[in-house]
Amino acid sequence: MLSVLKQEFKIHKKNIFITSIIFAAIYLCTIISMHLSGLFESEKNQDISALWFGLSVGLGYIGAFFIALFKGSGSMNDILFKDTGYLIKTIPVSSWKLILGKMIIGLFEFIVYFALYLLFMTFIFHCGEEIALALSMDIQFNDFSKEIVVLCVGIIVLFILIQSILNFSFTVYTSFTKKVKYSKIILAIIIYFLFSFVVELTGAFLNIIDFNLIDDILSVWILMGIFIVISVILYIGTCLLYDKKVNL
Amino acid sequence: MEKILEITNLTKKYFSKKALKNVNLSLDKGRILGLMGPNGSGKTSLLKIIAGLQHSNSGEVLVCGKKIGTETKKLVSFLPDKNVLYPYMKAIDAINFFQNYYDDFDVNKAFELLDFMKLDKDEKVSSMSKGMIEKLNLSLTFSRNAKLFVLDEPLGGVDPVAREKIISTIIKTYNEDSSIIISTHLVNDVESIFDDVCFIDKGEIVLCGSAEQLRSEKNCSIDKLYIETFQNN
Repeated sequence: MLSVLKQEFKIHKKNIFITSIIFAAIYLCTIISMHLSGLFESEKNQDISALWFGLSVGLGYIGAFFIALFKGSGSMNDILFKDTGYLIKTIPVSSWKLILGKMIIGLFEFIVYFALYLLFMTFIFHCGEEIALALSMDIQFNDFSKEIVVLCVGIIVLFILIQSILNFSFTVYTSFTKKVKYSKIILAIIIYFLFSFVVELTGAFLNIIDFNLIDDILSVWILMGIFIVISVILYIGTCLLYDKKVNL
Repeated sequence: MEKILEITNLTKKYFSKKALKNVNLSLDKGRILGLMGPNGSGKTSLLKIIAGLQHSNSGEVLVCGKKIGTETKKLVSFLPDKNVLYPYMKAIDAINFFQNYYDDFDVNKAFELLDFMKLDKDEKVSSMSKGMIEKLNLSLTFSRNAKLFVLDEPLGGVDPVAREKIISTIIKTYNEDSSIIISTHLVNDVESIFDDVCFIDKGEIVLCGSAEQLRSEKNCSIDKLYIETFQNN
């Protein structure tokens, strides 16, 4: 297990570092832009600030998620669809350790990006009134402080869940349909159902946060527990398929 | 004589097509086996099953008495017929990768082989030629103190000088505690190093035995025997 963690970190550390620098640079530009907007209250400056803010929020939520999911260590891409899969499948490490090790480093990668994002958002929250003024928006940033812990844990759990679903669907595809006629269409169908599933689950998650969080925080933790259980089941399925059915 | 590899009634299907049909094969310790056959004859499927990359549909494969799995991966050193190293890797990264995962990997031997192959440890795989990558992969494969070396087309697509270097490496690193299986089309180049040969066609073994015995029985070289066996396909 340690050898997998060590190797996966070695492989991905450069990417993590470069991506983090890019994220940090964008967040910094946003903060500077907003600060300048606060100093010089012109409409043009506010527009530029809003643009940077949108870019940062989009990157933080979607960009970090997708980069870590598809380019990160946790993705099965390099062991199922590339020739490097030969190298990985012939190493004397069980699929359980291999896939878990990859997912842990993948999660670490996401947490690094997410921590940067949190740092940025913390700064924004801290300077809430100034930022709201810069964006000409009536936002009470302090309102969110209670939910932040649950939200962070929720996003991390959601990442684990989506990574598990993606890995499972790619392994199913490689195990059963890769060499079937119209396999690409089948893959598209699998991905469609996969994303429908993810969207449904995410929708349920967000609904609960929106409507029940303040009154019933326990239900959020229960939902996260369910997500973790689904992730574990999918992880077991992925390992078994990789071990018994995947032919390279 | 200790058996390194024992294959019994091995069958491999790709949907309805049988790639291997009831293959029976055994390999003693210290022997070099030449596995030969035309394209699509089942050579690569057989080697991939031994290496643990593919699963058989029926039959049994034992490496040093163990069924194919994580334990046998510690005993088998596999050289695939394509580059499997990450393109961003330098030769030194590849060495570190092997050292991290294989307890039997000999780093000093790896550096010796890099020197012998005239490869730069700081050169990236993505900037290497096909021949250089082949030599790097072979160096890594033979830097392990494995029980069974499985080489799939080690001479394919490389120039005669690189080919000579690869054959020299095989001879240089061979020891009597291990066995080697070499799959190749270039019979003439390597037949002198084979102890045993096995001809495979349409998933079935059509001829198998000691190279020396076959040469004297048929009164011809293995290369000629190969052409005679497969010329009608």
